Amino acid sequence: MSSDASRTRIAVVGVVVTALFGALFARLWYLQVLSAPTYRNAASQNGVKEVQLSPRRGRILDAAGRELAANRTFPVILVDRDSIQRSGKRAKLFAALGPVLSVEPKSLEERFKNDNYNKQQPLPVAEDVDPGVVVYLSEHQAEFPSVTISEGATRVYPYGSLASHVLGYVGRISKEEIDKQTGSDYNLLDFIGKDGIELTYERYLRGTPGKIEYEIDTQGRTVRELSHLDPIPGSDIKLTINADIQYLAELSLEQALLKRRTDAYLTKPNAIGERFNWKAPAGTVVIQDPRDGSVLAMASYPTYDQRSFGTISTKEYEAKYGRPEAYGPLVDRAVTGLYSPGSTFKLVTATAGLRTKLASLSEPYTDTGSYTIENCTNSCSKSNAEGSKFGDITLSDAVAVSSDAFFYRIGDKLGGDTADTSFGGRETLQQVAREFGFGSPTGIALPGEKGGRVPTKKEKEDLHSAEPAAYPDGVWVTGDNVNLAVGQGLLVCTPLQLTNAYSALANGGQLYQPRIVSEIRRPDGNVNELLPRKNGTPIAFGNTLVESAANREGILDGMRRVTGERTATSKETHPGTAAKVFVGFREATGFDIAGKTGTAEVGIDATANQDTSLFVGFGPVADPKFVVSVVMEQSGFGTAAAAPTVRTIFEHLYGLVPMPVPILVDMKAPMPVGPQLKIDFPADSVDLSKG
Amino acid sequence: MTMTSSRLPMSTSLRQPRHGRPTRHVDMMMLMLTLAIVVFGNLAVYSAGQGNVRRNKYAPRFYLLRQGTFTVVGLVLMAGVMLIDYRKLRDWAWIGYIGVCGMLILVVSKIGQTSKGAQSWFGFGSFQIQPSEFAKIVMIVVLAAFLSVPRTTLDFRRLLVALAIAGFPVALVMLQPDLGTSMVFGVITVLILVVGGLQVRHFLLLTFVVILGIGAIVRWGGLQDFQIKRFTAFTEQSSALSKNGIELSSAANNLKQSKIAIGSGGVFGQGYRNGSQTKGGFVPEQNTDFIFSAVAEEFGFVGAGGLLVLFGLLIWRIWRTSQLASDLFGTLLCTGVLGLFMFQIFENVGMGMGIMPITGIPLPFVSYGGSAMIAYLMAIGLVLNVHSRRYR
Repeated sequence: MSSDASRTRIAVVGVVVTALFGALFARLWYLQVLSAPTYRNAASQNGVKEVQLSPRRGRILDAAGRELAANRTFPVILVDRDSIQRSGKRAKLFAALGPVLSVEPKSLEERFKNDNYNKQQPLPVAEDVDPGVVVYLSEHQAEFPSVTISEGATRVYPYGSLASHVLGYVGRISKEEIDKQTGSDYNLLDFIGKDGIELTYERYLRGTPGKIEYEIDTQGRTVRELSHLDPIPGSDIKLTINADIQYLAELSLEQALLKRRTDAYLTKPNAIGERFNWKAPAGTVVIQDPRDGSVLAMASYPTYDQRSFGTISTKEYEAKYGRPEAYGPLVDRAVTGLYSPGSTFKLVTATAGLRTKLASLSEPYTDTGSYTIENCTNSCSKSNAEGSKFGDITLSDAVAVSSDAFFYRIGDKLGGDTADTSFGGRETLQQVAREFGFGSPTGIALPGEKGGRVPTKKEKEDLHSAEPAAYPDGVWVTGDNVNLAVGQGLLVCTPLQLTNAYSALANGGQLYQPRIVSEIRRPDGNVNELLPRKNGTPIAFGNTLVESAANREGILDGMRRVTGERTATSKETHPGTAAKVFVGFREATGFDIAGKTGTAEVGIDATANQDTSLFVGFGPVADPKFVVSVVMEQSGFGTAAAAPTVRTIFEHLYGLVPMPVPILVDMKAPMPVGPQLKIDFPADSVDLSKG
Repeated sequence: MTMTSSRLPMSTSLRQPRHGRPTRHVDMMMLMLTLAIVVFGNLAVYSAGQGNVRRNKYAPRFYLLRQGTFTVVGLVLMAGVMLIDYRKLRDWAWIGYIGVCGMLILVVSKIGQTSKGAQSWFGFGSFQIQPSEFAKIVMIVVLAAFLSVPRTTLDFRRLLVALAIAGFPVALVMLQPDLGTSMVFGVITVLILVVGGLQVRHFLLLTFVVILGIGAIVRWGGLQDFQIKRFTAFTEQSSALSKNGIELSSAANNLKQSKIAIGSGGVFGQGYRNGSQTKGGFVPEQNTDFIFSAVAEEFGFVGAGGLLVLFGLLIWRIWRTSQLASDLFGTLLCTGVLGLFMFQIFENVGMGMGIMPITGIPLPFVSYGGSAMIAYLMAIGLVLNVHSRRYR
């Protein structure tokens, strides 16, 4: 082997070496220069453990500042998970801890294995323990080195189920809710408002979570604290709801419904020997201050108790709340229930009639007990309820006695195929209904509010084409407008819309957006006041200001007479529809009250669907402070069920009878902070741990 | 001193005029480069040991002090190796070879200690000796000595003998089992054979046999599970980052963490003793096998590239010395040392960056470890020796 050959080969080795170094440099350049941002990002997530600090949830206060929703804090006993990973150590600790906490060691083992507890965080072995236990554990720290005492908080509703539909409730966030809140900082163990104010004001109530970032080593042990961000507590929400009035509303409604169930629907046995009472399963009460649209009380029956959600399983929940016989306790009927308003809608027809001069305060219309639609070919004659004949009546009389014939004519003239354009043409009635807020949501700050429906030719056609089975008739006829005039047919509204419409009448014509939150009290002490919001310009009851004021007085006059007040236009022969109900009311309370009864037919089968009983009352009439609406499902005539309930409520509001005092419930009632409603996460659900 | 004179056939080297004492011809640049890398390595060990120091509650300078001691011992031995004329080693090589093979036999016996799945150490109190590191040097000397006998050609018979000389310690190392070190032996052997006159047809035959051998080992076992995993981790890695959260095999996770450390160093690094990966101890074996990732994280492309430049220059000096050597023995010694350094650097740095499979071989002068530090300093001593005696 010549050394020249060796040197040639060494030269080749040199080339290989150079190439290898080139490869190393290229790779180093790729990793450190081209890909550095990617790896920096990966590195920053690598050694960091985040611990979320939950903010204190804001409270919900009533108008007087009383807590309707609050937080209760209590001691929580935690065990460091690392120290009990070995089953032997765990068994020993649980055996020692069990007697101290008065629980079976077995139940602690179950908690340890329960996936609902975050495995990245210390295991809570007991919540809400007696102070003695806390003292004992603090004094015996040496025996329980892995045990720490922390503070837990749970949502409490000090008045129990009071205003539960308004307040709503909180629960573990679901995967869908997280997906909806894109870019938010929620994770699967967080609680979130599920309904009511808890849901609509979630953004304010929740506050801003804090977090501590720890740098950890590969064994997961903390090296140091990287950052510490304290949580910012949520804002308190002050409602316009007054707890006393709310309790009055709920109590009155429940008692009225329970009483109505004892009244006979069939006084004599029917052909097969059956007797029925009124079903009276459900109803609503809305009490509003007409001067600014503030909702003072809003009751929906049946109701529910938020506390029960703490321990209930999904199955139990379904059984308790999901069955049809339960009549949907979770549904807030006041804002999501759709009812035919019946004769209470005559407020709108009266206004439309007075504006178009189809109705008059002086020129009488002759009520023969029925009305025949002009230019009509099919079922053209419509009768008053119970065949009443009222003779020559003015608008005030028609309101007081609730003459259907009087208002049928207005519906006919304003909406028939031959609608006289001199009366404003077609859809004038619908137009006025919309001015009173029917047909669209009022905009109250509660979830799921319905807008109801003001039927028009187009609306009917659309309904028919969308759901031919439910709406077999798609042809708009004059009869539809005639039905609308007395609040029947396809017209539906929520109890809140109805109340709000009467508030507009009561305050002189201004429609408000119903207000339920009056203040947002920020944790820094600042208070955002939510001012009343007017909805459009005042409603005209006539064509000039003078005429409008006079016409409004005419409507009020009729509504005073409904409750039996003797006015200049009163006639002995035409007593108000609820006169008997309010006998002695003025004398006893010293205040007057105006109102309107309503009885809404629901479907054809009277046994399955008894009439809805409605009454809307307001007073004192000269300067109304309260508008009270009562809607009772399957309870019959407005004057029979709803009107007495309104009287009861006003007797309390006017101070004749002391207000019932809402009861504070035991706040220590079971409300575990651990797994709430068991949620069955899908197998591919997101990783609960961050970092 | 002209290039022509050095190009004369080695057998006539005795005709070279004397150029004074060998100490006058020390390659100062190689010496400086070595010292620079050694100092840099000690600093790196101090920083990269943080994770282990915290975990084991050692004194903060635990690794630095030990590595410093090894360095001093190594430098003394390097000087010693330099002073003795390397040509005398040709006669002593066999003694060394027998001694090293004996140690390798002992280390896989009951006397040896096991760590990380390989029985490669002798324990002496708090110190451990890894004979395979010294075996690398001895094997370079023995192979160079065997192949540099004047007026012989590397025929098939001599090739078999050379392979047997190399194969015996390799087999012992495989018993530990230490795949990485075996590969180092293999590369050194092949390189010395090639420069020492391996015939092209023998080279092809050898390549064929090696491929068959690897195939047989993979097919019929002979490798431990963890060895296979380390190799497959190398193929898993392309998606290592995107699989964040899904448990990778531990080797793939090592690689992922190493790449994160290197990548997050960026151009200028995160600063000495300030790398989050390094401090957090996320990269396993960060003060030994994966030390390059600590260097790259803390000193960035500038620092890690700089280290590679120093290594490149050092290898250039070794390569140059192999050209300048006054005889074939010197050339082959340098060639062996070059192969040793080149392969270890490329393999160690390459595995940290995911372009080479993961094996447990140290980065010369930088990785923590006494046997390696001392052995590689002695190897540099050999090359310095050859360089300083290039005229006689």
